[in-house]
Amino acid sequence: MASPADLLRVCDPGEYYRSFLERDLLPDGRATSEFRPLSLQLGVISSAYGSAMVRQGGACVVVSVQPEVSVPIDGSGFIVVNVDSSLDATDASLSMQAQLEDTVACLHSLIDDDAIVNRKSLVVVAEKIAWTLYVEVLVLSVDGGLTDATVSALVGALADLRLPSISLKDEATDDDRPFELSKAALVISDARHRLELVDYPVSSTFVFHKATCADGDAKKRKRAVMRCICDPSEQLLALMTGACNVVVGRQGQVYRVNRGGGGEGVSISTLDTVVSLAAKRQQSVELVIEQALRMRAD
Amino acid sequence: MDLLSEHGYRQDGRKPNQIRNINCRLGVYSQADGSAYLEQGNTKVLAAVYGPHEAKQRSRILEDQCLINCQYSMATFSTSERKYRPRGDRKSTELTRHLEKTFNSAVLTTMYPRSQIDIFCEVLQSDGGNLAACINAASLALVDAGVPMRGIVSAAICGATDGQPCIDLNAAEESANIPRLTPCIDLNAAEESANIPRLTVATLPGGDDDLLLLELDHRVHHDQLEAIIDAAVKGAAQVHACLQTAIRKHVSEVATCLQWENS
Repeated sequence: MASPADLLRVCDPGEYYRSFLERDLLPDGRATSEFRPLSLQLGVISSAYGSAMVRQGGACVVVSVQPEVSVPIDGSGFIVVNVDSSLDATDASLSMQAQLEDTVACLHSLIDDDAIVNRKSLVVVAEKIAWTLYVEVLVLSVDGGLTDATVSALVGALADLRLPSISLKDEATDDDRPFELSKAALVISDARHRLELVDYPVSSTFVFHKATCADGDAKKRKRAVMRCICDPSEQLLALMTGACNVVVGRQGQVYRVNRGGGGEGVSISTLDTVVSLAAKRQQSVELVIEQALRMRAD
Repeated sequence: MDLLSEHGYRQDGRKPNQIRNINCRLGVYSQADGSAYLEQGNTKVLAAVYGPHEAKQRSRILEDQCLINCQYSMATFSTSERKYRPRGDRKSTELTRHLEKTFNSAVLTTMYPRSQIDIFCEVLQSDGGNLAACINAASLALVDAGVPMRGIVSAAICGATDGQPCIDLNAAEESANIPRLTPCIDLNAAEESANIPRLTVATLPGGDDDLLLLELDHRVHHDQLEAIIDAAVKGAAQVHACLQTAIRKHVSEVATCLQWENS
């Protein structure tokens, strides 16, 4: 027998969530200013040079990084991102597909921006050898925090990445012939080294809820309160269109602000609150990644 | 290249808070339900709106509101280098998503349950601020089609150099690699890449909480963000005034043609 709350959730999800949000709570027991806990595991794929699995709420993502040797172009290496999902296109809801698309766009823009790894640092021998990193993102399940989980997993996998040392055997080749990678003699040693990360960007998702004060006088009732809800679940995200996605790095560096579609308009001051919340979140996630790295080193 | 000269002017002679000339027309096609042509400086965009009509794909029908379907495309001749641009490449899918998001919140979608509105935007000449120009053109086309909206959406792009925001960038400015002549206050300035932060906003006029779309490219410091958004919103307000004038002119022309009484 379903409880009245469950029935309300099915019949009128808007009212169901409103009754929680007005008390600054979410149905899963969190405060609206709280994120769901993030679980991060590094080195989950032993065959990959770097990998990470992140679970945040119902969202689960595995990222693996595989380096390959290539010739640099314009003095930089490459990062190729492939996103694969186990989502069945027919039974995934529109909002899930939209989330997946947003996640892909977010990853690409972070890579293009050199927000995590400076692609120039992937060059080993100038104009001859550079690393190409093939990043495979596998989305195992989709929930509200998909973008957040994926970005954390990507940063985790790149932090976990250990590149083998590589060098050219003889530098004394005549310079007249153009350099060909397939004919070059490469020396690859077992000594692995970590990649220097530029920053630890962390993505945070928010939705907004405009509520009128129920227990105030008539004047107060007119002044609506804008509430920022951190890390909404899938159902809440689908219900309240107009989510805001913010990617923040160290020292308040903002990499991406993306908001649009439906819901209430957002004022500049609300946005400022959101960025501050995201900056706080960045510190805690960076701590988690560093902890995981230390555990992996032991 | 620096965005601003030493006298505080931009390459094309504008001031930082000045938008480019806007030239637009409503109702350029007879086939579409609504259409508009918009020039913003040298960026030229065509927009066409079809609908509301019955949703084409049954799986995408929404029971309580209409579906906004957008398509962003660039003509092969839109840039200085001729390039075949297949639909559905990464950049255009992303811009399409932004258009859909924007108009999903601007159009009163609940007025037309189970139906669909198609918005097509074609960039004829690209000179920076493509997304903003597309939103402005599509907004005019929706007005021409008579689709009910919460207001006329207007958009503007804003960049910043040394914390000084510049609105409505052209292509040369968008691709500008800026050596920072004066060091920024924030510590990360040295390691920041040469790319300038760019922000596109779409707003509805009236009230202060009316940001429909916010899209930031490249990194910017938290402290500078508010100034950039503020400048962009003011730019969008200038654009809005232009769009409103154009719509009024169009409506009065139509009224004259139909010999409505001027009331």
